[in-house]
Amino acid sequence: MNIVQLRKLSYDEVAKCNKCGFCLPSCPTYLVMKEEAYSPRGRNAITRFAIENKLKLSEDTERSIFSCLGCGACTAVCLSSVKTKDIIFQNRECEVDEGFYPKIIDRLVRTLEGSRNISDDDNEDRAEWLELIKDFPEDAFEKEHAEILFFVGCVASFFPMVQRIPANMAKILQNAGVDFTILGGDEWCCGFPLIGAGMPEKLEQMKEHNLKKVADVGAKTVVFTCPSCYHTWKHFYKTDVRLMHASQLIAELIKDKRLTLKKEVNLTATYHDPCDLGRNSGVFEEPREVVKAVPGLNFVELPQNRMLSVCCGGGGNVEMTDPDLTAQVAQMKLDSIKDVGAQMVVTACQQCVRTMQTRAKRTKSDLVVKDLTDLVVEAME
Amino acid sequence: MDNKELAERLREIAGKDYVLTSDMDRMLYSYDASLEKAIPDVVVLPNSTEEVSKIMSLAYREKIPILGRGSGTNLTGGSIPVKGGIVVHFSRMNRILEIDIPNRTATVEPGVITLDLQTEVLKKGFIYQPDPASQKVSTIGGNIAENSGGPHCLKYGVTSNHILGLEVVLNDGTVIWTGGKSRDNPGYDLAGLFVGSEGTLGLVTKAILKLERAPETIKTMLAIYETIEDGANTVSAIIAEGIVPATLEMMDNPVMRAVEETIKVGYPLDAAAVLIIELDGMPEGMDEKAQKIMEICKQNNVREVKLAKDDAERDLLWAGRKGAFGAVGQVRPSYLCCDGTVPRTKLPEVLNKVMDISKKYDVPIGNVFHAGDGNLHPLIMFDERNKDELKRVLKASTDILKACVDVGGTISGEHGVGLEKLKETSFIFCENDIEFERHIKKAFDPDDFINPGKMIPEPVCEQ
Amino acid sequence: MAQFTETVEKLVSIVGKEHVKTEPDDLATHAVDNLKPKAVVFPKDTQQVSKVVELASRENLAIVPRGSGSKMSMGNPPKRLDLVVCTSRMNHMIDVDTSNLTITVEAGVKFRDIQARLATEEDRCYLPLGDLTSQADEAICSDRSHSGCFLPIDPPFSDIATIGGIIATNSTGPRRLLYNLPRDMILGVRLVAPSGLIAGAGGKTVKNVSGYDTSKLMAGSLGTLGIMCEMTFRLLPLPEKMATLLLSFESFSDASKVAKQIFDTTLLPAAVEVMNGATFTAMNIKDAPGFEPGEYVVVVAFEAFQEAVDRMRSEIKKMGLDLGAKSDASLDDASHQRFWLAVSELEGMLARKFSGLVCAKLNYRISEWEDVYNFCQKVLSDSKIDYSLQAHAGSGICLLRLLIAESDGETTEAAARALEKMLQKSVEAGGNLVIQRAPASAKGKLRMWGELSPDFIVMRRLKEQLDTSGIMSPGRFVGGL
Repeated sequence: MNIVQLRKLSYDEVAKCNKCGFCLPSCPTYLVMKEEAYSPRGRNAITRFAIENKLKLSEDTERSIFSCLGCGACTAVCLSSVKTKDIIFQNRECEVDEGFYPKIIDRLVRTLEGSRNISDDDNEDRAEWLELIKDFPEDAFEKEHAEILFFVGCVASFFPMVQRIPANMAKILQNAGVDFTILGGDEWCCGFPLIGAGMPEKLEQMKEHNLKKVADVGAKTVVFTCPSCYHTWKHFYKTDVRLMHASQLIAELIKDKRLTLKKEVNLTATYHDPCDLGRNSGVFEEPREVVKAVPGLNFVELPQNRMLSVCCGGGGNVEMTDPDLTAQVAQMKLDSIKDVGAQMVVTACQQCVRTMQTRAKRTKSDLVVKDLTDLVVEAME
Repeated sequence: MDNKELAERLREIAGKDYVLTSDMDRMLYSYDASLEKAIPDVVVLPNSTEEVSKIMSLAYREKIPILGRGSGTNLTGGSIPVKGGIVVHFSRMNRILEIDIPNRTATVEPGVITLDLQTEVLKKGFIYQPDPASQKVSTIGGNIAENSGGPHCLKYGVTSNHILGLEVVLNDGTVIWTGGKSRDNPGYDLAGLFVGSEGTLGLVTKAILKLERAPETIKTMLAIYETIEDGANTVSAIIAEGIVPATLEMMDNPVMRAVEETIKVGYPLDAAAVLIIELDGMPEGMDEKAQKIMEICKQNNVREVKLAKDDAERDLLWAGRKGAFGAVGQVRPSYLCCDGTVPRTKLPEVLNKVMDISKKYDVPIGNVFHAGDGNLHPLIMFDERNKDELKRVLKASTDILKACVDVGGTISGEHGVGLEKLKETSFIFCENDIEFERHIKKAFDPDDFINPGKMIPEPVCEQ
Repeated sequence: MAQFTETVEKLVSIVGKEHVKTEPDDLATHAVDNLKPKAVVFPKDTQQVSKVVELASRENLAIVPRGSGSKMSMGNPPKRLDLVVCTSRMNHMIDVDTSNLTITVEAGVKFRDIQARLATEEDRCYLPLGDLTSQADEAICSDRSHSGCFLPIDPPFSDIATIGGIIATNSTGPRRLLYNLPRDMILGVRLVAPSGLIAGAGGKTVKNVSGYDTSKLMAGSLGTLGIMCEMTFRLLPLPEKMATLLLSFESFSDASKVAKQIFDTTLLPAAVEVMNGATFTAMNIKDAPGFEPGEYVVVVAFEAFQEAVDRMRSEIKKMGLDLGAKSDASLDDASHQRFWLAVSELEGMLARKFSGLVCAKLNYRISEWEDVYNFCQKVLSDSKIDYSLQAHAGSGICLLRLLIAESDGETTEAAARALEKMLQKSVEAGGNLVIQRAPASAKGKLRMWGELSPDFIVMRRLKEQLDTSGIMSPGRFVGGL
């Protein structure tokens, strides 16, 4: 995208920014970096200056524009509801076309185009996590046809730290007697990282492939443990198939009494709203219903929750381009969890789990970080 | 000293990561929430009083303009570096240093966000009263510079009534404390002078704030009127009854419409005004007073009046008011928020004038105002990119301020003079008044390098 | 002297012959710390003040402004003195806007006249009008067609003090606990600067950020930066109910515990005073015949809605009785008002009785009040000086009066030594000790303004900038400004 196109696409939206600054304290990167360049208002100003030919894109603008976590908290507090995240992602396309973007993204694109996933591993190894489930034959979950397709996502497929999440999900679905399947090596990345990388046009072939596979399986529902896959499908894939996040399906199973949680978990726990699940997709209550269904658990809310939830630091490809920034945002998150006296934080996103768990480990914190599926399996057994 | 050398010196003081010099970074400190813009030469983010002192000494020796900045939410251009120079961004000095309950004080750095402090002290059952609408983002330093108000001013006063002591870096870099945890320190009330000085006398690096007990009870009422006069008369009648509510907030029809179009809280579209009344304090006698207020509303031809039964209902009554600015923001891309203040009884008269002005310049204007203290916030809606419209907006704004002054009011209740209202100071001050202010400025900053070009207009040329 | 005769002529041309006094008797009664002026001038309005000051500025004449003269013994003796400018003729109420809760008055208006003007037609007033030593000025107080409000300031000498004097000294009293200070009530000012120039700032709105807050700078500046001629204040509606609770104790620790317990609640009393028995007895309160003052008396004022007053009074009374109060009494409405009038007049009453009276105000961090109080008691009993001690318990202020019948070298020395010790104590507790009254003869031995604070450098810069030739109350203020 060039500036002229950006002007056409974003000028009216960015002109709605009155520079009131109300977004500043909602932005995790501003809170950490404390410079205007890392604030939503600053990023909007950059876009506007660029559109008005007052500022050339440069390594400086790259630094600002690519540090956005894409969490969308700024829009939630904005009096004029300026769609700052969208403007920033559009700006990223411009930056990419002018060559101002973190070069690590090139590798990401090569990997995605080569292996169809964000890791460099062979896509055939997507179902490696099945090894974590001892009681079932290896191919029990790869059926030709099923009611429900479980779309696993790249991170949970390839990062050992969170491979337990799909395993949990499989156990839960199995336990509730749900007819489901996974695509295994036929699952391709949903394309989400490409949006944050400023290359949304490359998403097309991923989308086509994945949609075709759904049709092949004949699934009426696709379920995701990854909020970003869920969000990408919901907003960029045009499909009539029912899309559900795992938390929604689990809540439904509990309500229908197909799943019962009996084992007590005697901890004080809070819930962290993943940005792409909560604010960006509107799923707030189902994960809470699931957490509250666990017997013995003492639930407390974070002061900033639901629409105002603070990002864990793992969004917007920032973990890849600026891991230090991610770590500092994660620390802020952990501090706020400690402040409400929670011993455990439950979330519903493998990326949030990774970010928070990594930080907790590094700082030797005794905070328990769990995915919603971890908690459900624990209470189920 | 050229800018390169200046930046180098500043890096020696604050560290290399905390001095910003790129075109982009400087442009990002060229604006605030007003319509003004000017680019600084360099931005520095100090971490301590000592660093601020060294930065100030450097600016003093080299006669470089210097300006403190918090979250940059100023609405009159107060944080615009109109003469270039150094912008001191206080975002890193954002520590709450102490909450001292026995002495009823909090000691904070200037970069602390007002609401963050309020949240902390509320955990201990106390409040810091000043609650400007921007409290979620504005900093204590900025509140001090602008003597910020908010909806609670009628009962609790403005920022200056809640500042006990300040640590200030003077023009030559000297650090002094004025006031402190103890009250009534002998000598001139310098803290009183610093508050509301729009950052033109020095840089505040620490502040001691007064805390008060959080009220036991809050009662909220919402009243809807056919005419603005009825609403305004209700306000006067309540006060005449000997009741001073904590809050008296009003909105007019254009704003109610905007609210209904966006968030839908159930305002009738044909009503002229809605009034929110809030009482706080000890619960004893509160129910009787609330009943009395509802009676007064009825005597003043209220169409409908509701009393919130619990917190949820209270939030509902406030939803429209809290969403008002945003709702207006949906109507047109930009809005200019004027800040004229008038004696409360003059509100209906001035609001009528505001409507005439809206027609005269063909710009939509909605009114959200603090009815208790006479502080108007007419919101002129427009598109900043339309130069002709912008011109009409600025003229309308000037006319509104003139209308306020004509009935015994003033040009700024809580946003300050800054750059945008320099011209309008002539509405309220004669040359002698301004000359006296110049003497005060000279006592602190004879070289005129601390936030120059603000608040006090340049002398009129004698020919 | 021939030269000054010319000056007097010029003064006469400004204010009129009968308003310039040069007779020895007049000069003697208007002497400041025994220093006699060369003339006493009574301007009638701001314009005349401006012309007088302009003349003084041209001829380098030192001025001390004066209202009723109730606080002329404050501060250091002036370095020099030519003119005393009296504001007594400037007693117009310029704008009484009770529906906006503001009032604008000239500096010479008496405090009690303001309150009388704000009273209801039924004489519901903040001050007990019938008990004042003199009648309120009916000419300026007659219009009472409104619902009753008051200027929430609680100064000493409330019967005679002018508003100009109260603001120039930032005078406060016990009820500052609820209403804050005069500097918090002032919204605008018109003053005559030391050059003679008339300058205004602020206005009649509670919110006002248009120019420097000059009113705050002037409040408490003791006439060293100019003469305040007109002032605007915010008002409050009269409290629905006023009442006072008296509790007497034999030990300071019990008395102070009551105060402490009150501050641990969410109750909002108007004043919490802890005073020694001598203070209470001196006030000669007749409205509580059955009350037996002990070594200490705790006095709590309530000014609020009826129901809130009832609750506060009963809760605090219970606290007091639980702590072993030996006697208690309640004063309602008129007797409440008379009580606080007596508190306000205490200094004046003692001054008539003790010609060597020394009054001091100690300030310190609120939480250290018991420690400071105890220290003062010890120092004073060691030095064998009779005293009255009255703490504004929640405000971090303690008023001390040394009851010296006649000042001589020995007593002055003893007082100076004791005051010095208490000054050090206050400074340690984060505050200072200001001597508000002392015989002129003793002032040389006393540190009238306590310790200089580090912000004095700025005060000096302000004084030099605003009063270039040093004619306004020279030397009377902090650090000899």
